Amino acid sequence: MMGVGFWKSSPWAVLLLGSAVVPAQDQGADGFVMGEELLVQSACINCHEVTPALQGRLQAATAPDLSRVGARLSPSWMNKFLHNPRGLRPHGNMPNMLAGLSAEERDQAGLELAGFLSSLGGPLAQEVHATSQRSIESGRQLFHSVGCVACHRPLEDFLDLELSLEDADEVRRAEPEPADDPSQTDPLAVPGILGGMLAPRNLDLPALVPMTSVTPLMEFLLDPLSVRPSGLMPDMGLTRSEAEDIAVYLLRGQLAQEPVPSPGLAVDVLKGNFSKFKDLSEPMAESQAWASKVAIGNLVSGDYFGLRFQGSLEIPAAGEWTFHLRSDDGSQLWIDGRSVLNNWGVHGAITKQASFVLSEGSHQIEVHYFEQGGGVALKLEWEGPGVSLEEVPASAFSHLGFGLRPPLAEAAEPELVARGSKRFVSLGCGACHTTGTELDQSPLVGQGVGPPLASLAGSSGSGCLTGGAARGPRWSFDIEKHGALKEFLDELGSLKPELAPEQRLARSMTRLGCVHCHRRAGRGGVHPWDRDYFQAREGADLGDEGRLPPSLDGVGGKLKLEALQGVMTRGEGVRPYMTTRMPQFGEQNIGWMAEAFAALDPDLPRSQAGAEGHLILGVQLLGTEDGLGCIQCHDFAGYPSLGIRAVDLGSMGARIKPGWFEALLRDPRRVNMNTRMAELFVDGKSLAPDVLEGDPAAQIRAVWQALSLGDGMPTPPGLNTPDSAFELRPSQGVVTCGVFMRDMSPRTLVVGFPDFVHYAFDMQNSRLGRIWQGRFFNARGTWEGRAGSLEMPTGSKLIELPMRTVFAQLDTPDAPWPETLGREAGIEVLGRQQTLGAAPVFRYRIGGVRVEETLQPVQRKGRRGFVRSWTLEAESADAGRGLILRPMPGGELSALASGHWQAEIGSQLLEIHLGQGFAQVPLTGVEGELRWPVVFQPLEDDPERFGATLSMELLW
Amino acid sequence: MICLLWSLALLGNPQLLVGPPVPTSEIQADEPWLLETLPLPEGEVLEISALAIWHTDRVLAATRRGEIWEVEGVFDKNALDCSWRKVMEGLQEPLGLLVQKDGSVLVIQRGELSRLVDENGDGVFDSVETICDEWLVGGNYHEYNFGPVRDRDGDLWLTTNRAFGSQPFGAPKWRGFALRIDADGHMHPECSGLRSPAGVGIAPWGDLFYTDNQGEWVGASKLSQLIPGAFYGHPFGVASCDDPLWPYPHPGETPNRVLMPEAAKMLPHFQMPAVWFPYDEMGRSPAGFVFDQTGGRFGPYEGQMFVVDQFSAEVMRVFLEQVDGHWQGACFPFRKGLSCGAIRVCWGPDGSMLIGETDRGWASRGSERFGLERLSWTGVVPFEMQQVSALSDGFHVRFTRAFDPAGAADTESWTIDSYTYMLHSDYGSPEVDLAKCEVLGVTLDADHMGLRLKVDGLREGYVHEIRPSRMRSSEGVALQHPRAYYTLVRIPR
Repeated sequence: MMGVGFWKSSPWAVLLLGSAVVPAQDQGADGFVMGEELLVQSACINCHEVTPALQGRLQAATAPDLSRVGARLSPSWMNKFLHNPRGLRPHGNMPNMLAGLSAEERDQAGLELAGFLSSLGGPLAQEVHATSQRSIESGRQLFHSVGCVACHRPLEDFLDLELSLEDADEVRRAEPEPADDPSQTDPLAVPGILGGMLAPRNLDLPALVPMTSVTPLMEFLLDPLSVRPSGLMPDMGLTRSEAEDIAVYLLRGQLAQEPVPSPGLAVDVLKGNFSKFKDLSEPMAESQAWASKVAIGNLVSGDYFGLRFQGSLEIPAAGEWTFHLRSDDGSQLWIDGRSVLNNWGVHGAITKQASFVLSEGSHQIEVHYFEQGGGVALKLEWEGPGVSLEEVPASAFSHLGFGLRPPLAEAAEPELVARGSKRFVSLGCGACHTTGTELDQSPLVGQGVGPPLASLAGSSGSGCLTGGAARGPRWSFDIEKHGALKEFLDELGSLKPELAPEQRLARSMTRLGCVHCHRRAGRGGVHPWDRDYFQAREGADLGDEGRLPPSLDGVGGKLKLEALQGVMTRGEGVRPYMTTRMPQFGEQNIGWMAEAFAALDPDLPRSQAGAEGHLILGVQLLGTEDGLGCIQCHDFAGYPSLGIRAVDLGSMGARIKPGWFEALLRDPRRVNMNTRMAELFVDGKSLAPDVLEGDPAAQIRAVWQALSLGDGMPTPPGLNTPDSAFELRPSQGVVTCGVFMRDMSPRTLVVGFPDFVHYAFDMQNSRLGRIWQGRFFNARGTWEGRAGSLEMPTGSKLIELPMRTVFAQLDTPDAPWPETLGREAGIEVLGRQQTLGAAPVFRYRIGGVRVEETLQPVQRKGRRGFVRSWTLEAESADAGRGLILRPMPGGELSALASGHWQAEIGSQLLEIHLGQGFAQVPLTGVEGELRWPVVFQPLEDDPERFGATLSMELLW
Repeated sequence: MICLLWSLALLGNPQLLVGPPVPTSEIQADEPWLLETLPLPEGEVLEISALAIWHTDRVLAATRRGEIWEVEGVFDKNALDCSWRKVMEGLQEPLGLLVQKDGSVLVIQRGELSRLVDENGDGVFDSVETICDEWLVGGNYHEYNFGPVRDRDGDLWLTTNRAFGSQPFGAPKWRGFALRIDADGHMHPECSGLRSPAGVGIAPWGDLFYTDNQGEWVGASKLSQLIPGAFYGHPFGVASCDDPLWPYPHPGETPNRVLMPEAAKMLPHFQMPAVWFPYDEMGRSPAGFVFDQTGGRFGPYEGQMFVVDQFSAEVMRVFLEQVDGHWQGACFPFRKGLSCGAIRVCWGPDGSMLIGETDRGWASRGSERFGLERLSWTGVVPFEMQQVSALSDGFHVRFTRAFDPAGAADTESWTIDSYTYMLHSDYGSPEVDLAKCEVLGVTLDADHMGLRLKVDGLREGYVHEIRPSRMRSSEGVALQHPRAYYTLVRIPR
């Protein structure tokens, strides 16, 4: 449908060669390039042989696959089209194949070919297609927003789209638009302004009405590449209902004048809370739709709505019928004006049933349904004479409604089909088209029916170009094109097999229409006349960046190859705020382009490429709390930003190349003149001067480090995610939460301090299990819904402490340390001292010794950490005998100075500084361990009892 | 709607009973009980999981998120001015509070029974003392514990929810049990075969009861008496009964797909419920309950029980009587339309009822996801069945007001259906073995506030659903809730 037509007397050289350095031979005159493009577009080499070397360069786009064309197109339209292809589709690539025949034979051949083609999967089905104003309106908006109008002429003025279709039609009837004045040329088509890249929007869409019907058009829109492998009509990523809506809009000329019996039921869609209503007879419909059966389908989504289904129900046989009506929330069934089954009320999916006698034939049916909140369900089943329990099928319903009548199509006589098939072969149609059927090729073979292309150099140019030949296509090119082709053919001998890469890209972008949306090397982009149709979704206040497809200048240096391939061939878009969609042209057609971009566009340089960024500070910089505030505009991991909805931060690490990222952050306008990206480093001064000393390079590295974690990065502070409501922030004092913690115990208390050091204490085994810094903890897994998740800390610098007790009563001080924990290790949980906002003190007993353990935050020489202390009390002088403290942090241990050790635990370095109560030298004889005997002293206030107090600092 | 967990598999009973539409009088009648929704502190999520009165007129409210709040002024003239203060946090699923005489408060958590003490008297708790942690937790979110309730001997009782699904810390014993904690803090398993025993309490006469939620092996939600050594039908935790700590006979292998009264005959320790709550007719997830000892300040139901439902956001009413040593009785609808599913209930000093609400992420009826509400009696006596007690040949129904004898005396105006449930591994049971009872005669009490129904077809082990259709009070008012469900485990001799 989307042809490649630049049939302006325009500067082809400027258009297609641009400023790129190209081999001299290709820097031909306009005509030369135009000639080549015409030759490719017209698929000349399908008939005129070229040397294998040139086949790649001159390869034509694959013509439409006709295997099931009969199911798509009306035979009479095909007949007309064959007689006058250029008349019906001025910008199509189909030549007149009947021109060489006598007038009488031409008529005959048209009928035969139409009959044959119609037999391929056809003829076109004749069912009325039920639709609704809602669907037509939706298709209308979709057609004018998803990007169809980049190539096709808009069917309505942009401003008219704000009116309903009915109102807009009325306005247009009252003030008919002036007919196109052929003398009015597009002022912007002047060379130099848009580089002449203006391509006419070519397909005259109203002509679809006699051509096809809703279902085949919908199927085509859903998968155009299967019929047109060339990619000239790309896949717009439509859902089934979107495709249907667009199809009914384009074919609304087929609407019957009066309501016609249509399949399914008419549906009134209502919005509101209907739980207090006793039925839905009263409320006004917000919109009308239709449904094939009693189901919610995609009629409406969300909560608080109602549906009123109305129509006729065909009862196949008289007798007792039982209806089962299942719904969440309420529903009611009415037959012949009587409420016969009531499942009303706010409830889960409940089925109610009722039985009654019905006569054979048509009965009026209504189903009322409403949804308040939560789950949704609606299903109507029946059983009766000859029908066992089943969902009431679509075939039982009908209603008077909007119906689209397809163009008439009848099956052709087999004899006519046979003659058409012969004609198809003899006219050489098979040179371009496949039919999926075995054809008798004996009369003539399509390939090579014309003289070799090289032999046409210097010829007079009669033949198929002018219709001089008795057989074969007639192209009817005008004199200019004729001349261009001739010029190209004359120089064919010196043609190089390959275009320069940038040229090849430019030509392909032009042929496929990429240039209708994207700009590259000073060419292309959305035409100013069409810009209104490119809109951002509501709320995405991103200026032109939010609605116009991006420039492709330097795109290979911006996006990682994988990401480029993703967006080009796998539909992996990252701009949900644009209503226009990136079409899919097919891997086979543009798969090579991503690598071509990557090869052509240089990567931008990075400063200090090897240096690692500071992850946690990077996350902070992304946020709004002493950060750069990226989340003001950028979404993160699917959660909306605080303001406009720019590209998701979570997607960037995998998409963007770091050099480009750095360049963008350093000076957004230099990368993209029109960007709304904020300038973060004005005159080299960061908006977040307190982080990393305000050093732009270090900040950019930190942000990049965070972004490279993708969605897995911690949520930047300040962003409202479902998680953020559960984020525990101990800003006012100590915060505690009891959780199931992974690799610890189901009785774990996480304790967070305003000092950014936090710990998890296993209350079942009286054991300090984890310490970490930065962010504290997100309780979503424990608090939300049914919860009970195994939790992990949220912050950074996590240190896992070994799964061992710190105290043991040993027979000899160097005995192996027990592997048991908690009760098995003889430890009894006594509880804890805990006052709101203060650090807890954990209480437990080992044998006859009562222990109180607590951790208090400390900061020393720029390192954060805890003072961990134990207060012990023995019931008797003997009770604490043999008690050893082993506060092993795990990891590789090394001595720093007297009473100072360092442990390397994972990527963290933890220092231990002995405090109160310790002998400076630990017990010897236990290699690589730290053990001290606990020395009890009589208590000052009660010499009968004995106590000990120990403390140490843990810094990291 | 999103189903409750305990209704994953079987939603009601679509094939068997399609009840008539609920009469509108049930919804629209003037409510003799005033419902007040108490304001919560701004911005706080208070999923109330336990309630207790302390210091006479203050309320302690625990939340699912592990906090305890003290609420003052709830019972003042303008309860909307009540004030909240957080007094504890960091607890794990505190689902029950019990104020002790010494001013300390017992709280049940996932992994321990604890005692909270305010050591310095500033009104905020300072310590959590572990009373008992002799059971373990497998790390399944369903491993809830309910209680504690102090029995007449001073011991504390808990009920433990079975686990559903993964237990990353292993499958510990004693899930689905009633546990007794003695004065020394040691645990003694007492009853087995519980499922989701969300409510546990003690009757004024000293017997312990608990509520359980419909699901597998629990054909319908129920209220049962807790009797040491008894088995309540769910085999999930029965393996624990091989542990020497279990002092009673093993409950035996649970038969699958038998009628409940048959199961009671097959299993010597099988405990039949006191009351079944028919699914959807009487809530879906009964939880906490209280006995009316308000001396009439809450209305005409002194001595009866009120049960809140976590799904249906309603309060239900239960009348109990002892027949042949077994506690049984009838349940009645009482009050619908709470703002949220409710799990806890307690009496205020003024005889009003406080209701603690959370939908616990399961979606319940009502417009809120959590809250605290108060129900108080306006003094209006509605026309209701006050109690239904069993007779050897029928039922004795007493009413809250005198009735018009015209409709009452007609046998035609009484419908009694009976049905029971299956003991099976399926999720919930349909109402099975349905039969209609014939009302042979009606004898009116002399005061016209009661009547005796002579009934043919009474069956032991069956719910008897009693629906009067033409009862009018002497003033001509229809019954507010014309239905009662009597679980007839024993027919009086």
